[in-house]
Amino acid sequence: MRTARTAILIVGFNTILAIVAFVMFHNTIKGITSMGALDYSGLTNLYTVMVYIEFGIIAIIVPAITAGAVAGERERQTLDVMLASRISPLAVIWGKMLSCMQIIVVVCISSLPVLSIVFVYGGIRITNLLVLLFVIICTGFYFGSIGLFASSICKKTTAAVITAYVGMVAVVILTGGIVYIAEKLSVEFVKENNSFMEGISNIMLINPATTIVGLVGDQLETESYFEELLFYGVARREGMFVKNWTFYSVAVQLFMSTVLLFISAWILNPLKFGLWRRVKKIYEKRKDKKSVISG
Amino acid sequence: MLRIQNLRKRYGNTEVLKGINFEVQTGEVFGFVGQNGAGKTTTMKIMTGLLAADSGSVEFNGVDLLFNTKYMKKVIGFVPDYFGTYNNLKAIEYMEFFASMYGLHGKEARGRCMRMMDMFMIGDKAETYVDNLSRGMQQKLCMARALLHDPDLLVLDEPTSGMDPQSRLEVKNLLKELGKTGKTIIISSHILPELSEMCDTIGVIEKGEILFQGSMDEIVTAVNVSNPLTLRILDNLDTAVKMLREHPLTKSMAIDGKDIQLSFKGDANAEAELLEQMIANGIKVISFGRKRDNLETVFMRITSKEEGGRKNRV
Repeated sequence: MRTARTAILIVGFNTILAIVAFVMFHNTIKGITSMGALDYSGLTNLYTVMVYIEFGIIAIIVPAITAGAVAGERERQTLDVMLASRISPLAVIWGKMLSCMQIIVVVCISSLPVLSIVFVYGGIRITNLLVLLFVIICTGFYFGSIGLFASSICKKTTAAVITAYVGMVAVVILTGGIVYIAEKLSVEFVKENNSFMEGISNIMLINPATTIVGLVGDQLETESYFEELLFYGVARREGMFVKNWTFYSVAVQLFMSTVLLFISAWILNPLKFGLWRRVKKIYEKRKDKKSVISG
Repeated sequence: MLRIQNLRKRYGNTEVLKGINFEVQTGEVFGFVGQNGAGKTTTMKIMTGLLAADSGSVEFNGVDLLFNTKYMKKVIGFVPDYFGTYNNLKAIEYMEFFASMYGLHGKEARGRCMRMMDMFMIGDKAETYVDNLSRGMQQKLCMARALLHDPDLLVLDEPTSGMDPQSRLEVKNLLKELGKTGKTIIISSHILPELSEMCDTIGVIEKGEILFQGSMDEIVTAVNVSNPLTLRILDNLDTAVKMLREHPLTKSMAIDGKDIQLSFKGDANAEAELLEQMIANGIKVISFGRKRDNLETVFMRITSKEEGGRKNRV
C-alpha cells in the first residue's frame, strides 16, 4: 500500500469511471436537444455500464495482485523463513488475502463519488450503491482466493498470474459455455425436462458475472441484454435460486473462497506429507497410554 | 540436548538421508560439514519444520520436535543459507515484521529488535532499506532476526558466507558467547578451518550419513593415524627394524637407507611410548614424526571415494 502502485491504481480506476460517466451523461443530455425529450434509459445504462466497468477492472487487477503473493515470497526466498517462524501457513494465506482486500476496499470506496453521479437523476438508492459495493468486494475476495490458490501451486509469479487468469476465465466463461451446451443438448434430446436445465444452470452460482448482472437487473428492475446472455435458458426464470440469486451466488462464492484458502494453506504447509505419520504416532501414543492404564 | 536418531529422507528413488544419528549437548556449538548434496541443508530443514522426514526423530530436551511443531517453532531460530529481502522495508521494519510473528508488538518489539541489531553491530543501519545493505550486513540482520524470540536452539546454514573477515570474526565471537549462555548452536559450512575455530564438535556428513563426529583434534588425529610414521635412524638400524617389526601396532614397514616409513596404528601416546622404547634400547633417532594433513586434506580424505569413507564415532 505504501508504494506508488496503489495510488496509480486508484487514480487510473477512477479516471476511467469518470471519463465513461462524463461521456455517457453528456451524450444523454445532448440527446434532449436533438430529440426534445430525455431518454431515461440512457441514464440507467450509465449506472449499468459503470458497474460492469468496475467489475471488469476488479477482475483484472485482483489476480495480478494475489497471484504474486505466495509465488513472489518463494522467488524472493523469504517464504521458508516465514514458515519456520511461529506463523502458521493459514495465517500467511489469510494475511496475504487481507492485504489484497485492503487495496480492493480502498479502490471501491474511492469510486463512490464517481458512482454517486447516479443520484443526480435518481432511480438508485444509497442502499443499492452500498449493496453493490459489498457485492463487488465479495467478488474481489472470490477472485483473490483464486489468485492465492494459483500462487500457492505455482513456483513462479508469471505462472501463477497465468493460472489465476485461466481459473477466472473458467469460472466466468466456461460455466456459461457449459450451460449453453447443456441447453442445446436438452432441446435436442430431453425436450421438456426443465429440471435438468435447472440443475445444470445452478453451476452459474459460481460465476460472479451473473451475480453482478443479476444484482443490477434487480436494482433497476429491468432485464438487460447481458441478463439474457448470462442467464441463458429456461432455468433462469424457473430455478430454485432465481428469486434471491445475488444472495445465493455470493454465499456460494464466499464458501468456495474459504475452501480455496484452506486448500492453499494446506499446499503451503511443508509438513503436509508427514501428516499421516504424525497422526499415526499420536494414535499409537494414546493406545500405549490406554494399555498402561488398563494393565 | 539435541538428539537426532535414524533420520531418513527420500526424494523419489534417491535416499538423501540414510539414518542420521548425532547428539549435541546443551550449550555446545556443533559444526556440520559436508560436500554439496551431502544432506546438511535437508537435515536442517527437517529440524526446523520445513521438510517432513520419512522416519526418525529429532529430540530437543526430551521433546520430539517432529511431532510438536509449536514447541519446535518456539525453541528454534533458523538462518537459511539464502537471504531474501523485502525491497520496501527498512531494517528495523524487517525486524518488527518478524517480531510480530512471534507475538511481539509495540515498544517491546522495537526495543528487542534494536537490542538484537546492536548485538550484531548493525544498530546504526536501522533506518536503511534492507535492499541497500551489503550482503554481510543482510546476513547479520538475518541472524539478529533469528534471535528475536530468544530460541534455545540456533540452526545456522552457512552463516558467514559473503561476510568480510572482520564481520566473520565478530560473528564467530558472538556465537561463542551465545554458546556460553546455554544456547545450543548448529552451524553448517564448507569452510572447515572456520568451523574448527567456532565449534566444540564437528560432524562430517557424506551422502546422507555421518562419517565422523568429534572435536576437530579428534577428527584430525583419527584421519592422520593412517598417515605413515617417518623415522630416520642414525645408529642401530637393525635393532630398530627388529623392534618396529615386532611391535603390535605396526602394520607394515618400508626401509630406504636410514629412513623408515612405518604404518603405525597408534595414537599420540603410543607414538611417544614407541620413541621412548627406541631411545631406551640405544637406538639413535634423528627424526620421528607423522605427516599431518591440513584441514582441507583431512576433509577430502574423509569424504573421498578412494578412502572409502570410514564411519567412526570418535
